[in-house]
Amino acid sequence: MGIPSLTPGQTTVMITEIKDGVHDMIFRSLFSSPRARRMRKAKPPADQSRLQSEPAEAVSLTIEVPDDLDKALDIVRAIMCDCDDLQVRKVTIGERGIQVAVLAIEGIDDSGRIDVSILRAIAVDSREAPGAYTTPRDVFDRLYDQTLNTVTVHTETDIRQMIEAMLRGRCAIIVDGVPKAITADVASIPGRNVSEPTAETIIQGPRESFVERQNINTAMVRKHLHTPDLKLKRFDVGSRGKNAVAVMHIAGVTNPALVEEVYRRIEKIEVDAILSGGIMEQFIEDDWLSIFPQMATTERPDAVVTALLQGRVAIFTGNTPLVLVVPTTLDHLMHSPEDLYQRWQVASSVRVLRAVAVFLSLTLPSFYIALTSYHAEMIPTTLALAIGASRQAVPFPAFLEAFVMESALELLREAGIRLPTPIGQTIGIVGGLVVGEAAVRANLVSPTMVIVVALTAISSFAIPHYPTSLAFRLGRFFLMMLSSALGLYGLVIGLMIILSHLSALESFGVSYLAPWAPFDAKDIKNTLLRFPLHTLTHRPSFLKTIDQRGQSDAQSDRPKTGGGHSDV
Amino acid sequence: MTSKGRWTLVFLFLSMFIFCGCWDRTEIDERAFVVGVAVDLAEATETNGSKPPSPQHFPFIEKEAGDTSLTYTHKQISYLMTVELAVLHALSAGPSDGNKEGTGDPSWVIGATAPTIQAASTAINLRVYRPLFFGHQQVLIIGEEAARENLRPILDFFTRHTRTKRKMRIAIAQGKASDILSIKPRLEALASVYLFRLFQSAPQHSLGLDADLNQAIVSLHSSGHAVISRVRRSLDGQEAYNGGAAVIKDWSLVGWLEDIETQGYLLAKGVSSSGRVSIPVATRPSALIEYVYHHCRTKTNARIEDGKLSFEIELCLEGFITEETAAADLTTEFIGWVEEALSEEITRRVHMALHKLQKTYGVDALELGRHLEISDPKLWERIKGDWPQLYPTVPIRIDTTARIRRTGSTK
Repeated sequence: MGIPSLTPGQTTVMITEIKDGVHDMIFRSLFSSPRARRMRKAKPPADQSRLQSEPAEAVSLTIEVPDDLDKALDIVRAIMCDCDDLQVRKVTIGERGIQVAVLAIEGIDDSGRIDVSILRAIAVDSREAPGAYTTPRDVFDRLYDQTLNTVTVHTETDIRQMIEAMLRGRCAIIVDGVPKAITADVASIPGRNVSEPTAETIIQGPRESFVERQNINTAMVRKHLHTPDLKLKRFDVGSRGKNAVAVMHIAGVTNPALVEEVYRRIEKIEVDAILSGGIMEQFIEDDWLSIFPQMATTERPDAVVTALLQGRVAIFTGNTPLVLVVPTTLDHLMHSPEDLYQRWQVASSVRVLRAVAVFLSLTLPSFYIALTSYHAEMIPTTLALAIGASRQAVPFPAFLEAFVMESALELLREAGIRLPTPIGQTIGIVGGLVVGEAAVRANLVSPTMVIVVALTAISSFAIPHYPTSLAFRLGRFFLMMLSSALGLYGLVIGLMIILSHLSALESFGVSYLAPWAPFDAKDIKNTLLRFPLHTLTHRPSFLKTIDQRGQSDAQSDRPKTGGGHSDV
Repeated sequence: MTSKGRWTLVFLFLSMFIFCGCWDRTEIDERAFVVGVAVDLAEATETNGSKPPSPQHFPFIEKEAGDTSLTYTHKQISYLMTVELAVLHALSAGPSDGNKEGTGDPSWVIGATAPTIQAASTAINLRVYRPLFFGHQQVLIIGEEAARENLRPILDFFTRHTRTKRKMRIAIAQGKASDILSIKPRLEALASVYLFRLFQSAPQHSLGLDADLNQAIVSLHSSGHAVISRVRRSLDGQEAYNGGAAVIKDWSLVGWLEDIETQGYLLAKGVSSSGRVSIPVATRPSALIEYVYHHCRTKTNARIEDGKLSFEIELCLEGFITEETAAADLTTEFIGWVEEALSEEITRRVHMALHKLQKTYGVDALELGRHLEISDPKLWERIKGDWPQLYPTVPIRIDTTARIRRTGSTK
């Protein structure tokens, strides 16, 4: 490589001479975007003079930790200038008075772990065993091997690496006279405790949900699956804010090609920072034009475990309490974890109910528009007369009425989400009851329309996966437009468009409508209906798992009538 | 495709919503709901028409020899079409409706006279600004006179119109049809809905008919005959009375079946699912035994014996005794006697109906011809042409078995 390797001394000189410029340069080299890096690779390395003339191109260099502590601190301060949350604590230990500096970013050890595990440990140990603190080398080894009370301790020779570790929540310890640094894990970044799920509440089943801290999230999944086959691969995504992304799958079950594809898509991401799983989702999804989510998001560890066992892949994005599950199908998005915990008859009927809810939330208003504006003869006579009577004084055509009411509903929903819970409830009551009732009384909308809107809203809340229900809401407005222009004909055209879009859609190589299209009778057992658990012996075949069976036939051998487990 | 072309397409697609190509759109509250139609003959006069069809424009009409004048005599018919419209705001008299809107009469009966139904409905539109909407028409009542004239021109409008309901009930009114529509029913807000429900309830007693437009049209188009509902005002004129049936032959009304004859006809046809029969007790003629059947199986057979064609109708009824005023002891022998007497009575009713249909009107409403065609197609081919003459003379034997399932609790 044509990159000049500088000795520590040279670096210091540069820093002292042109501090700000160099700082800029070093900083850029440390955290330059992958895109810039790629551009650099693309350039012929022969053009040395040009490389040097551009400061940003000059250094992708290793800055070694110098022997001299003060020099080392100077370099760190230069790199981290204008970062006032850098904390440096210098202590002198041992009979020889060896200087040791402890560096950390303010606030990463909220519970004072630096004080206890690092500083007090050093102080106590140096007093009790002064013999071990004679030479800088001894001090370094003693600290590394024995003194520091943290789970992980690393050594770094590169200041750049050291600073990056500090930014991720470790503290750095530099001993004067040793050209190395120790980093120790002290991070206890304040975070939420594991609490009950808020978006995916269920009655029967575990009541814990993911939090923002990724290591806790992955540990919650590990808790269910005690096997080394549960693989976890970490990626650092983002050039400015490096967010750790963990990908989990079960080796020996999950299709390796699928795992590779997930890795490939994640590695391709080039962006400043990934703030949330939602952003991650949009970077790796198949079709950015579609209104339908192409991966399942869940805040429930048990849902992730179920998906992993089916042969899916889970993507944990740091700082997000939502885990992405790929690949998904429309059918999968309609399932709630609770379906597995309930008796199969109950679960099956609930699933059928959900299918009805999907249909209602998608088509009910457009159906109303089409029937009242175009096909009055298709409504039963008594109902037609009742609807006609209720619309007598309403000055708007049905589609305008529907648009106004549906928009008002979305408005209320949006307002309800943004506001704090107590006010949100008030908004719901004011909006739903008062405005609705007043609008009917003022003959602005017909009571029938209020029923239609309310039924639509309730139906859309019955869809377990929130982003999916949003997709159906958008689809609803699309269908309303079509049916207001073309009646039932338009409604059917719209449904055809949606259906053909859905059948063309893929999620990580799996057809979105699987196993209905392409149809596979084997997989139908766990779709619209949920067959008894002992019949669900195979994993979904569209996931192309290595190990097809998820269950032996042993359970299905049990007697049909009760008494199989009687106390013999 | 060029990007300009693509944008044009997008614009065209969007303009569909902006300019709302709603040529068909009529809001549900902007229609005049026709719930019932009554058609009467307004006048039928011999007129000297002035516009005969010109032979050169209608080459398929052969010019009669010697027809030199441009005028010819034809029968000018005009109909009085009366429609019942649902007044929507009067119907919305819900309990929560604070404003006193639901107080008016929900039924608006309005009529016009014109030579065709379409002309009449257009004439009504001169007074009712909302377009007449026939999609929820419940009943079509045709006056006796109009029915005797010809049903075909009347029914044409209602079958040709794609938005009429084939499920609407059709009935011939004894007297004027418009009188029936102006009834003020107590159970329903609209007379037509009341009539519809009244016809619908006919299978409970089998004394009247429940015939919808589709059945009538199918029957009329296949043979020109039909037996359809009859309706008239009850004696005090307050209610409608659905009893008996109208017999249509060659698209015209030829006569009526009375209530009991209608029951006999329905039993013979095998479509009477429920009804009552009563017989006097032999020992006490003033006392009656009421029998309600809830099941009737009918089998029609064509027989050829010694080269003579005859039909046999087997009836098998099952029912129970609902009332018995003789205070008789219901022994097995007695029940056996009752069953026999009931069978006789039912046979009599069926016979009355068949006699009238066969001898008086010559209408093969039981479709005996079809039964023959099914059982002996070759014979049918031979006698098909003579069937109208043959039918009134064919002997029909009726064999009834009435069974009593339950007698009810007696103590």
